[in-house]
Amino acid sequence: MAETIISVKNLNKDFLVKRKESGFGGAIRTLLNPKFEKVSAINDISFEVSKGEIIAFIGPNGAGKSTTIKVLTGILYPTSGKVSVLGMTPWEKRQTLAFKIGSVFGQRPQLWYHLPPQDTFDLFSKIYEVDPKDYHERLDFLISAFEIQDFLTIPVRKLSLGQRMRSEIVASLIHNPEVLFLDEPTIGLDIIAKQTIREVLRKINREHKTTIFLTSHDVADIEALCERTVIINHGQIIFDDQTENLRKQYLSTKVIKADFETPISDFNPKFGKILNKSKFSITIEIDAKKDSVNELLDIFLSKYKVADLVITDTPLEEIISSIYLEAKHD
Amino acid sequence: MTSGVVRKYSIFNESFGKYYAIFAINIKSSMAYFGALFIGFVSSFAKLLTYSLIYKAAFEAFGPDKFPDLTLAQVIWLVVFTQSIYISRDTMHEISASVKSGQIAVFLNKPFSYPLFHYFSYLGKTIVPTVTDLAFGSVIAYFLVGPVPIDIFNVFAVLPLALGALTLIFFQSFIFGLISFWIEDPDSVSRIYHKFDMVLGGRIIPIILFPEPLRTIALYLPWAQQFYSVGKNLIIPDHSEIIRFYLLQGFWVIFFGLVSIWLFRKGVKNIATNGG
Repeated sequence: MAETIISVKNLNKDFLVKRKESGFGGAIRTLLNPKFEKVSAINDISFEVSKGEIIAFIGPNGAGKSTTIKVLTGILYPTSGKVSVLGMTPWEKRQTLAFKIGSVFGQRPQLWYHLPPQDTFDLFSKIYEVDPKDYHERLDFLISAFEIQDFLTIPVRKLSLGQRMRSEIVASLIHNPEVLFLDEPTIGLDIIAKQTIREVLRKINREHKTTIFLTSHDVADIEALCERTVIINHGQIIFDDQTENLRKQYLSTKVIKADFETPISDFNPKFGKILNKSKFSITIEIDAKKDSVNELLDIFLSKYKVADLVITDTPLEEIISSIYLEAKHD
Repeated sequence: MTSGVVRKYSIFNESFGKYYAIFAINIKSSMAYFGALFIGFVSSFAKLLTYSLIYKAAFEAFGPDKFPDLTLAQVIWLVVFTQSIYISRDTMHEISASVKSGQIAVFLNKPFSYPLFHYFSYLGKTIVPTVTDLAFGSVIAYFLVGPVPIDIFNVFAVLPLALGALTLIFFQSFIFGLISFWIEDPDSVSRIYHKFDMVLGGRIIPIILFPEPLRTIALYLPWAQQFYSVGKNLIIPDHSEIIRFYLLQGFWVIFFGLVSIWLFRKGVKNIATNGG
């Protein structure tokens, strides 16, 4: 069984949020008698992450994702609960833990804006106390993997968003961390930049057994990288399983599109919902839990000459959004 | 390659090496817009020309008896040194913005001390503009009022005071930046505070020209240690006085240092999720 390197038990984090009344009178009242409201950002969550896992930690805005990452990296103190990352309690051993973890907060740059990425890499090698020989080996590998050789000496302010993000991730990997926390690493990037980042992250995970803890609103990131998905909403975990099971568990509909060489005017299915129908083509949505895909295909193949047939699952994005909505209504 | 960091040096060397690297990268970063520093030349020229005209008029109007043991050239050179220290970079806005935006998170989970990271960043960002301003100011003062004799021994004696002065300015800026954990805009508080350093730090009128007992009181306050101390001990040296400056400056550095650490420890526990 794989070694557990992140363990979270009954974690809670509350914030006191100041409530302000509107208008001038309200401002005076707030000043004289400030009112605070307790907001529960994380509500009794528990989970474990094994060495070498790539885990997606997702949820809508304000669900508690960033708060959880900040607790796991030692930046935030929890209200209650137990957390262990690489055998350490993060907020007690923040600096020791920092040597073994890397983090990228997509909207919070760590590169020196007026200097080329190379300068930040050199600085980080000193900050993380990396042996110079190991640093150069490691940097050569990362430069080639992330294909950043062409802009290593160009000031960060002149780089594109994709070039910056690749450099940000390289900076977070200089010290070869055991766990990498990525908070929205592909936000705002084009498809090519996203693909490059995903490929390299997979490679690093495979070759160095780096555990990756990813939050993203991009479902393609999750599908491409994460075997396991944890969904958090209103500070509570509402799903924690294999990403594939997310599909299976929540996938109730399939869309079947068929093109025919012979007319299908007489075709009238007993189940399913016809989304589109023409003389030689039909698109039907069926509930796979109630109705049989096989039965429908049998009818197609026995009665008509099929030219083309496509069966599609509901996109993961729709599944996740329906889970969010479900949780909201509960 | 194994996962995790490979350590090679002793703890002292590693720690010193990382803070030196932070200092160095900030020097480099502050030189990114080197051309902008030359704009400071125009500002320095205007400032020193105004001061020299005002003090020249004052010396002529009141006569040298009103300014015992002090020449016009000494006053202007005192202003040059005081203003050069004053030009040091402000850390308050940087820290305040990082607390409010949540950027603080990026640097809190790095293996270094957050206050020391900012201290060495500040020194790195400050050294180039300060030295450039001093060089410009010296050239301008030389042409406006001529040279003043400076003993090389005093230059070395004053260097620790210069570092202490910058350290004091840093701690105060750091404290005002950290106040953002509790109040929305520390700028208003800091602006009031800086009125004191403008008047009592000898930035406009050298403290030696203050009437008693204000002069004695001002010499004990932190602002004299951060702005006045360097120029005074370089231009009008007094070996018995310099020891008092060392001790007083040391006291204020420790005082503001302890307040900074106390506030930082309290503030870090106040970090909220999105912002500070």
